[in-house]
Amino acid sequence: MIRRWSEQVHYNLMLLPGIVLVLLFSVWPMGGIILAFKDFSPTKGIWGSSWVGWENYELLFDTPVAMQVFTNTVVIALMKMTIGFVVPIVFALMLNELRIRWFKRTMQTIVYLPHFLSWVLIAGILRDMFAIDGIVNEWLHSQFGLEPTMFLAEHFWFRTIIIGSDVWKEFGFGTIVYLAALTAINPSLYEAAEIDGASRMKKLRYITLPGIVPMIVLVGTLSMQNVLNAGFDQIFNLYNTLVYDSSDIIDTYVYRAGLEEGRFEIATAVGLLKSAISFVLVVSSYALASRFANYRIF
Amino acid sequence: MTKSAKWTAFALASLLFLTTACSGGGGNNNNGASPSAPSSEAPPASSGSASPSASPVEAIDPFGKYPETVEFTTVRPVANNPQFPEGQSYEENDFNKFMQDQLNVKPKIVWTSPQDGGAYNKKLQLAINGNDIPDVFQIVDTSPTAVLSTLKRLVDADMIEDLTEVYEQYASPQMKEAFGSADNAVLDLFKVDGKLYALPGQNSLENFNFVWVREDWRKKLGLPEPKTLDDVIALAQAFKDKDPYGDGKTVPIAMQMEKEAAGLFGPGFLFDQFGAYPDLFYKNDAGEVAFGGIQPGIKDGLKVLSQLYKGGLVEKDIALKDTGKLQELLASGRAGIVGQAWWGVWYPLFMTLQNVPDADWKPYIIPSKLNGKINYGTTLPVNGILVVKKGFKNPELPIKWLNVYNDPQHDEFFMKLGQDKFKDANDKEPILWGMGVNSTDKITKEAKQIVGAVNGTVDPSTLPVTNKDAYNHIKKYIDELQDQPQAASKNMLQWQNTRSWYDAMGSAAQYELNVVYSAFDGQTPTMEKKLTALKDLQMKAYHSMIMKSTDIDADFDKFASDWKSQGGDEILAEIAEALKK
Repeated sequence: MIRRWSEQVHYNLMLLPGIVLVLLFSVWPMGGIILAFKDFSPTKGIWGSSWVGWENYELLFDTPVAMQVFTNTVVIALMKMTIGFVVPIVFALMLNELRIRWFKRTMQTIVYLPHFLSWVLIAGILRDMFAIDGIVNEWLHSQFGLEPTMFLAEHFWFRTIIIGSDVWKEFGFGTIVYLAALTAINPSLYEAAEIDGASRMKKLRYITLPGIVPMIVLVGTLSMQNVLNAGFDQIFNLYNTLVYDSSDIIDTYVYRAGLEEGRFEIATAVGLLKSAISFVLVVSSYALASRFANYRIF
Repeated sequence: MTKSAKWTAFALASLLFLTTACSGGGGNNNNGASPSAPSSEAPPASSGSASPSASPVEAIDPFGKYPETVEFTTVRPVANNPQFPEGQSYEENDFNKFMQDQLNVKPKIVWTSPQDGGAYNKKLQLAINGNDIPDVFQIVDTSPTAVLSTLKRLVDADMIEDLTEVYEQYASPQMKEAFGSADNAVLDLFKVDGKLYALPGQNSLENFNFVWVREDWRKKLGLPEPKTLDDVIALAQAFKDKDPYGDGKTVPIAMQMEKEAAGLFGPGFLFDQFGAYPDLFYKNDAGEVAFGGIQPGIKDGLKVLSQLYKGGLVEKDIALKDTGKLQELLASGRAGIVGQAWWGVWYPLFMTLQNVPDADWKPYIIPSKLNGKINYGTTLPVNGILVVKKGFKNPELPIKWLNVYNDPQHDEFFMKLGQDKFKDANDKEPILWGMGVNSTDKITKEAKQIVGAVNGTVDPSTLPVTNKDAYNHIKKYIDELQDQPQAASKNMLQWQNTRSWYDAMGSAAQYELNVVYSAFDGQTPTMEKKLTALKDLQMKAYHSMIMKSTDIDADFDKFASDWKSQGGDEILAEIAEALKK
């Protein structure tokens, strides 16, 4: 044992910079979460401020909109997760069936580009497109004679746009993961199926799909940690008074009530609550992944 | 985008006070102290520092120059993409240099941030929470309540100096008189446990609403001048029907529901008609604290608004409009009617003229049908406060700075500088903390003099220098209009002075002003917890009543009871309790 250590010591030393970085920038700042249980005073600092127990959480749940905000967060996040989960799979399978290589490549590149755009930018474009005199309303009017709708001021349309644009922005990135998984399927399986006279649909059903099931399960279970992340950047840049009912999420509410007034303790309290719930979800999704997809990190 | 629009407006309005509205003597700063009373204690303003032997270190002199340069750190809100004359900046400019000559103090700006979008406030909050504040700084926000809550946090954390004593010692007589004009209410607001922790600026009280009308359109369509709310609506209807802009793109009334900038583009002129004040906690006739936003007057106002909405007189997406979008509308010349205070032509209405040279905006005051007066609900007229970091060795410095800045004998210097050298700058007055400390009736008084001079009842030569400037512009405008009666003068300054001073304030002077003050500008515990949510509730309810409701009476009652049960009643009780003390 000791001999092995001395032989490996230089390898272990190579770990050192990484460990220091993590300790310094990830572990150490976590001490700040005690702010969630304090009445923060800048001069006294984080440690010196007085303890208030659960008061910040009571304050949070005392507000009449807290329930609504939580519901919105979960609903929006779940819908984004579900649709954002299905679309890349379908799209990857469709791309996989394409025989024209250059077209496949081009499509792949195009659909994953939006992933790199910021929400500020996309929100600006969406606002103009869906404005009352915007391109969408004009098109609907000229094609179908429909009266202009205020898409961004109606609950239904607002959520649709939020979810739709999120899926549009991210599905290309998810697709790449599945395309990678598809290349790992052994081609001899297809050849064997061909000899047996399987149709294209049959091959899809009995070879391709089962081939990527582990990846599907993995991506699906791991995405559970996002159940409280409904997307601050996106909603904050798009929403307005009229759709608070259906789209005000934890993060945007905290921003308005907490950060704009500089009440960091409230913001920390919510952040910690979110982290705690997410932690539970990550652990359970990892357990699920290891059970159904045989996925293990360690 | 712009909470800031209001502050830009304030900044411009105070610029206006400065350039046209100051009442003091016309001494030239190069001549040193004028014999005028408030500054009789001031030493000569020459930079020679002639009397170092007077040992001014301990001497208390509101205008006294420091024997050695005092450097201090500060921060400031700035214009987007600031443009200055060659070689000038926010830190180094003729305004600040002048203050340095006067007081021998030198600011060092640690950081700047645009006022636009409330960026300055957010950055300031971060600095405060990080316990990293400069020596002297300004807190500005959308309401006295918001300013006060920041101040309270600073006091609780023991981060700022108690200014009670230095205020008594160093505030100039003129400053004390100005605060006294409102019974020191503005000062009292910023006292915590009887101690003064901040030096507030004070506006005068003329920000009530006018109805601004595209006068060239009105004349083109041969319509009468509006005298009542019905006339205004008829005018809007005519703008819609006759479409003077063309292409069906005329926007008869450009409006937003006070989403970001209270008052600017707001429906205030309409609510005033019904004596309704959507954001105000005030004492009603029975002497009880009431919230303006749930009073029956609001319901009447909403009914009219809903009519306007359904008739297409305001834009369909009114709920999505912010100040920036409405400014675009103004700049493109599509808007016909806008609610705005008397300084509207200085900002933002001049934007129309930049692109449509023949356009003209004219203000009309519409007295309420209820009482024949001009109804005006307002919080205390605070325009930001200055605080001093705990331990800074010259806590009196900002007071002396504002003494000099607000000293009437320097009016002409500041005015000329802004008009000549900084003519093309987009921050025409880049002076640190350009806060006015004005008496609350200042503008009314000035307006009476100016209008009197134009109408020949006051001798123009008796006007103070800055008002003379306004008088000259107005005189020229009116004379020229007789020779060439087209829409607006090609000289923006002449037009702006005429429309704001002569037309707006002049016509308002014929009516009695019914000011309803907020009863309470502080913050109660429940306000801290629930006011954000209640404001959301209110805006949501108003919008949906205007845009969708079929039965406003029922919906309004529901909103009012929701508002009360979700914390409103508690807040009202807390305010009543606080007022008893």
